[in-house]
Amino acid sequence: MKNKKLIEINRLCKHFVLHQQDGLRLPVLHGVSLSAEAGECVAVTGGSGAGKSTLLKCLYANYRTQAGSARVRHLDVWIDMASAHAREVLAVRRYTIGYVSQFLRVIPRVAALDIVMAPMLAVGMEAQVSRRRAQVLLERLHIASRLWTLPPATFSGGEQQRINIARGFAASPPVMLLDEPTAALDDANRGAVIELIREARRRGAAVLGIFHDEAVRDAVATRHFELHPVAAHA
Amino acid sequence: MHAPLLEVQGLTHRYGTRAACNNISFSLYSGEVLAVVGESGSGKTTLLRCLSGQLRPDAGCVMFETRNAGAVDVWGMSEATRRMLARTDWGFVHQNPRDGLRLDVSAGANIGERLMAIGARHYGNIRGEARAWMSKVELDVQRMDESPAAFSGGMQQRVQIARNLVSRPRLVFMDEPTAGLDVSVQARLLDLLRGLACDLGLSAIIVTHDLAVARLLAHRTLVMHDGCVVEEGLTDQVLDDPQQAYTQLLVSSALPA
Amino acid sequence: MNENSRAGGYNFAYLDEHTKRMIRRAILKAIAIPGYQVPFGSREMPLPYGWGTGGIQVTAAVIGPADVLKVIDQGSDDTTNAVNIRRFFVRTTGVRVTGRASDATIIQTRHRIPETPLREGQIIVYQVPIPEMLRWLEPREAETRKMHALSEYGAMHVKLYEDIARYGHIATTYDYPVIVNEHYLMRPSPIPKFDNPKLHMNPALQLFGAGREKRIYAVPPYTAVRSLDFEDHPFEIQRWQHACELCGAADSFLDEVIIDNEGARMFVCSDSDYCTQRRDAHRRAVA
Repeated sequence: MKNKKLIEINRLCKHFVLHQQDGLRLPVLHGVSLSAEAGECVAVTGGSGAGKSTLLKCLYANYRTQAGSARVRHLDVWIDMASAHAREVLAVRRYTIGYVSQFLRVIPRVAALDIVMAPMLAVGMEAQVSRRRAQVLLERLHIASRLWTLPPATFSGGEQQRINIARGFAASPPVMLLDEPTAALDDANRGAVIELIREARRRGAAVLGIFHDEAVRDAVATRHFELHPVAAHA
Repeated sequence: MHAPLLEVQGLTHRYGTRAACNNISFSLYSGEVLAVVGESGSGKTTLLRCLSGQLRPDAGCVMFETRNAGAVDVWGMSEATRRMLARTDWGFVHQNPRDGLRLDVSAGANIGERLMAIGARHYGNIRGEARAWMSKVELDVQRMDESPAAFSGGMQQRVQIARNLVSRPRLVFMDEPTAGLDVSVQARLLDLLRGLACDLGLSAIIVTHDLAVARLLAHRTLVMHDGCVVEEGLTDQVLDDPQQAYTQLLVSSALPA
Repeated sequence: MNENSRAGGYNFAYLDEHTKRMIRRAILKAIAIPGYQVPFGSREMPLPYGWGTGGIQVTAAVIGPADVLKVIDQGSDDTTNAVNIRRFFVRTTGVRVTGRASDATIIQTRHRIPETPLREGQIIVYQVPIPEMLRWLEPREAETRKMHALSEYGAMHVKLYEDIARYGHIATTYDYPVIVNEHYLMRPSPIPKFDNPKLHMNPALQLFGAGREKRIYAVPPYTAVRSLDFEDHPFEIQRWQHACELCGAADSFLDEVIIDNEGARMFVCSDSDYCTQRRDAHRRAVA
C-alpha cells in the first residue's frame, strides 16, 4: 500500500478571465507539479492568494484549468480531472475523492445524519452500516445527538463545518482534499479532526490539505508544499 | 460504457428568421440530471419542446435510446410511436400544473391515468399505485379522491410529478418546475425532486432560470444564450468557475445560491 | 304505402335527392369503418336541433316507399318527439308506420333499443346529441381525431375510475362507452347501459346520426361491440327487484312512474310496444 502514488499534478496552469472587468486576466497557478502517495499528508502552504484553495478545486474538477494535468488514481486507473468527461469526474468524486470545503453547502430539509450517510450510500454501503458509521463520526466530532435529525441550515458555523468533515471522511475515500478543515473549531474538535486525518493516513489515503493552524499542520502533515503567488505578467 | 439515453445533434428551430435554437448538440446518459439555464427568450423551452416530441425542429436530430429498438430519431419515428413514448418512457412536468393535470378529475385518477393509458385494467391495482405515489410525493392519501383544483400550487405540482413518474419513465422533461411557487414550497419540492432523482436513478432535463435549482438537482448544466449553448459542464464547475462572458454575467447577477 | 297521405310540394322524405345521395355516401363510409365518425353536410331541418335532426336525415336518406317505419322516444311510440317525427315522415313519404318492432323495416329511436330482438334486414337509426366520447377529456377536435386514429383510449377509463372512486361502482348508466370491432371508441347515444349488450353482434344495421355535430357513424350487422370496464369491476347492466306491473316482464328495462297525487309509484316496461305485446299474448292465452 505504501509508495503507491495516488495524486499526480503536472505543470498545472490556472487563470481566471473576468469578462465583466474588460477581460482582466488573473493568473493563479503556473506550472504547478505535485504528487502524493498513499499514507502521505501534504500540507499546501503559501500566503493569501497563492492559490491553495484553487489547487484543491482544480484537482476536484470544481475549477477548470488551462494547461497541465491533475491526475487521480481512480480504481487503479489514472484519470486526469482537468480533461475528464463529466461522468468520469462524478465517478471519481463518488468513489475516490473526499473533499471537505471551507463551508458546508446546506441542502434544504436534509437532516445532518442523512448528509453524512449520503456518500456511503452512494458507494453502495448498506443503510444500517452507513447509519452506524455516521453516528460514530458525529459523536467523535461532538455533534449533540438531538441535532442529528435536523437539517444543518440553522446550525452554528462550527457545527456545520463538523458535519462537512464527517461527510468527507464517511466513505473512507483513498484521496482526501481538506480546505482548512479546523478553521472554525475549538481544541477538542481540532483534536478529533487530527485523529481522523491520522486514521485516514494509516488506512492508506493520500491527503492534500490546507491548514492555517500550525499545530494542526505539524500534527498531521508528512511534508509541506509551498505555493507562491504568480506575478500578473506570468 | 452504455450508449447515451438521448443524443442531440445540430438541433435548430426557427421562428421566422430568428433561430430560437441554433445548432445545439449534447448527450444525456442514463441516471444524469441535466439543467438548461438561461434567461427568458434564450430558447430553453423551445429546446425542451423539440426534445420531447412536441415541436418539430427545422434541422438536426434527437436520438433516443429505446428499450427495444436501440437509438431511434424522435422525429423520424411514426407519430404513433412518438406519442406512445411520450406517455410511457417520457414524462413532462409543466411549469404550470394546470397545463399538465386534469383538474376535473380526482388526484388519484390523474396519477392513475398513465397506467390506464398503457393498458392497466385492474381498478384495485391502479388505485394502489396511485395511493403509493401520493405518499411518495408527500401528499395526504386521504385526499386522493379530491380534485387537484382544490389543492395549493405546490400540491398540484406534486400531483403532476406523481402523474408523470407512475409509468416509470426513463426520461423526464421539466419546464421550470418550481417557478410559480412560494420559496418555502419551492425548497420542499426541490428536495422531493432531488430525493426522487437519487432513489429512482432518474434521467431528467430541467429547464430553469434559477441557478439554485440547477445547483441542487443537476449533475451537468447547459447555459443557453440567444438560442445557442454558450457553455456546458459539471454544474458546480459552470457556476463556480464560469468561462464565458454571458455565464459570468448570469452567475454574478444571481442571488447567492 | 299510402301515396295519398303524402303532402304535396315536398320531395320524397323532405331532402332533395342530391342531399340524400351525399348522406348515403357518408353512411356507406361509416359502415365500412365501424364506429368511425364520418363528417357529413348536415342540413337545416324543419325541427330544432336536439329534436333528432341527425336521425331524421339518416332515416330520410335510407327510407323508401316500401318501408315500414317505427319511431320511439324513451321506449314509447307516443311521446311528443316520436309523434312529431312519425308525422313528419308520414307527410313527406306516405310510408306505412307501425308501433310493432317486429313489423318495422326502419326504427328511428331516441334513448332505447327495443326489447324485441332485431333481425337481419332491419335498420335502427339512433339520434345522437354529442357523438364525440373523448370530448370531455380533450376539447380539441384535431386531437380527438388523432386519439381515434391511434386508438389512444386508455384515458377513457379515467371516467370509469372516477365513478368507482366516488360511488364504489361504475355509476355511468347511459351513453356508456363502447369499443366497436375492437378499434373505435363509440358513444352509443344516450341509451341506458342496459341496452349495450344488444349493440353486440346485432343482426340489424345500426346507424347513428348527429345533426348539430354533423357526424354519422354505424355498426354493421354482426359486429362486436364491447363495453369498457375493469377486471375487478366488470361491466354490468341495471337490474330491478320488481317485474313490470303491467305485463310481468322481469327481463325488460323498467321505468318508475308516479301514478297519483299521493306519490304512489309503479314500475312498468319502458318499451311500450314490448309491454303491449306481452299483455295481448297473455290475454289471448287466457281467452
